[in-house]
Amino acid sequence: MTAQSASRARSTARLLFVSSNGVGMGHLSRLLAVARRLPDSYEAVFLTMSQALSVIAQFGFHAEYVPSQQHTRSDMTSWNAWLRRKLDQVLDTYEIQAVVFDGNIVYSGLREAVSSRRNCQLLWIRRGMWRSDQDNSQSLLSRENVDLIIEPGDVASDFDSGASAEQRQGVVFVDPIRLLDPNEVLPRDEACRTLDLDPDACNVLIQLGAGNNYNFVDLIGSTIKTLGKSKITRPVIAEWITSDIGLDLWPRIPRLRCFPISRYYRAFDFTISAAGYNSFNEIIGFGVPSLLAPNLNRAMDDQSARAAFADLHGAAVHLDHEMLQIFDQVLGAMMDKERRQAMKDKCQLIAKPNGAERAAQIVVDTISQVEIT
Amino acid sequence: MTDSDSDKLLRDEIVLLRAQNRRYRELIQSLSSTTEVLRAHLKDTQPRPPELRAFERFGQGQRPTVELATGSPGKKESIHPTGQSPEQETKEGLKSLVPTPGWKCLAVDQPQIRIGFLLFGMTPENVEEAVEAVEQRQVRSRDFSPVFVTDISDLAPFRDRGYVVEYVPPSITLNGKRNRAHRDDLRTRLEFIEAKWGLDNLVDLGRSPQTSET
Repeated sequence: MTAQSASRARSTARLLFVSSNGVGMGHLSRLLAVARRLPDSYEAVFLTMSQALSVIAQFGFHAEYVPSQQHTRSDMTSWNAWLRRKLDQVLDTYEIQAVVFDGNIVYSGLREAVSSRRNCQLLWIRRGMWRSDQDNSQSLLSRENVDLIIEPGDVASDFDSGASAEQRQGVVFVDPIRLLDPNEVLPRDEACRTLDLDPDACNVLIQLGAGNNYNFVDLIGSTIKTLGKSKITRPVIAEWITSDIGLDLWPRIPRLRCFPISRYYRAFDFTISAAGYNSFNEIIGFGVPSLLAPNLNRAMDDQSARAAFADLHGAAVHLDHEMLQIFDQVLGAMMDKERRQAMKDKCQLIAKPNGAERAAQIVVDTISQVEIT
Repeated sequence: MTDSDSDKLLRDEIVLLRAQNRRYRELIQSLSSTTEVLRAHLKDTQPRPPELRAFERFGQGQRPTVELATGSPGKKESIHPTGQSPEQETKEGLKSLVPTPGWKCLAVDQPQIRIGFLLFGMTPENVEEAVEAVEQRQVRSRDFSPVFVTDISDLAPFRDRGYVVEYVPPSITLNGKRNRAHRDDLRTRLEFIEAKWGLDNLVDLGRSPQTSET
């Protein structure tokens, strides 16, 4: 029985969502955002390299896990060969009709497994904003055998100068993909009550990423020291559930360890944040005043461009080298309620709608076209 | 000096060299250690700040939820003899992968023995205890690399220690029907994992082996 005939027999189509193991949660979050917006006649199964496996179960999806190459002392070729075998098993077991992948490079094991099947599609959700000083030739070449590339938009896409911005043939664009819609973000009172925070205090969320490839401990330390001078501020450190390191160096500062953190954004008066895809587009989309400290690791996306874009539009402050020299003053300025409100207003001007629904529709349309033919 | 005295001196010298070697390994490990290694060694020496673990259940019920049933594939003899070469190949010609040995033994030469530890049907707390016990044993003996196989989705106990883990989902219901083939497939999955990592042996630390269900 082919995957399609099996699918017809069970009246639903089953899709496999594959995420690579990023530094944070970006790849997996986008896939979850799309999967949870599929029509009921489509069933999503996940194969992830992210150790945030429990998050997938939390959203009610079935998940398989495959350790990424970083967990081995073997070369990429050997790892890909085993990935191919694992995928063969998964595609057979779950009678998969299409694979939706989110990652920076489409693994050869994935491409080979899908392309060896007549009726299985491969779609790539490929985030933009690649750094212009990166060699992304392998990533660009990995589109071979990919049936469709969906590029999730970015609030700062006008500042995208990376390699993917120049190769847009056969790429479908959607608005920024966010996991939550605005109505899913808790009101301030409820969010504060859940987190046991005082709604009348100035609550500050420090979310500088998973810390797996960038040292931000100094910045957190400076922030806490400065905020400690004010009696009305209450800093909270967001700790990524995939983080290799625990941020338990400040015993009196509570850590927020949950997913998705954006659910609680309204509990916070402002945030000091990295500028990864999800955090940035959520901060702007949900109108959270922010100081943006880009992760400058060369392997990352162009977080500086995002921060600079928001800064240019008055929607955030880009904590670049110069601003870090006067960090105390910058942080002090954020205590001003009117200044924060102005930032919120500017966020609204540059925010874009959530593209997750549209991405889900594109996935469905692409599969439907194959079913018809 | 007699031959006997000479042998004794030689043996003492070897013991001394072994001790020095061990000490050098530890020094190299400390000097080359990443934050994770140091953190693993320093774990529980500091007071823990409060943790706000809220909203764990968001998303549930929004999609058809899979039905979970924990169990164990039962004890199983290894399909490989003990002490196989790490460079072994499967009959399809695939080279087995080399697992990272964990943070606390990161600087140790790649151990020749790879052991798979099966952790099925256990509570998260029991899994944490089991992984910690394996880690303690590994730190003492430094002669094996563990690969864990579990059916719990919280992989933190393995991530925190830098261990490789393979996840075998509990039997599930997809599209409203229990997938019995999935459970029947457990043995195949374990054979796959054994071949993938070139495991020399499997140790079942699961509490309640169940090989069948109704």
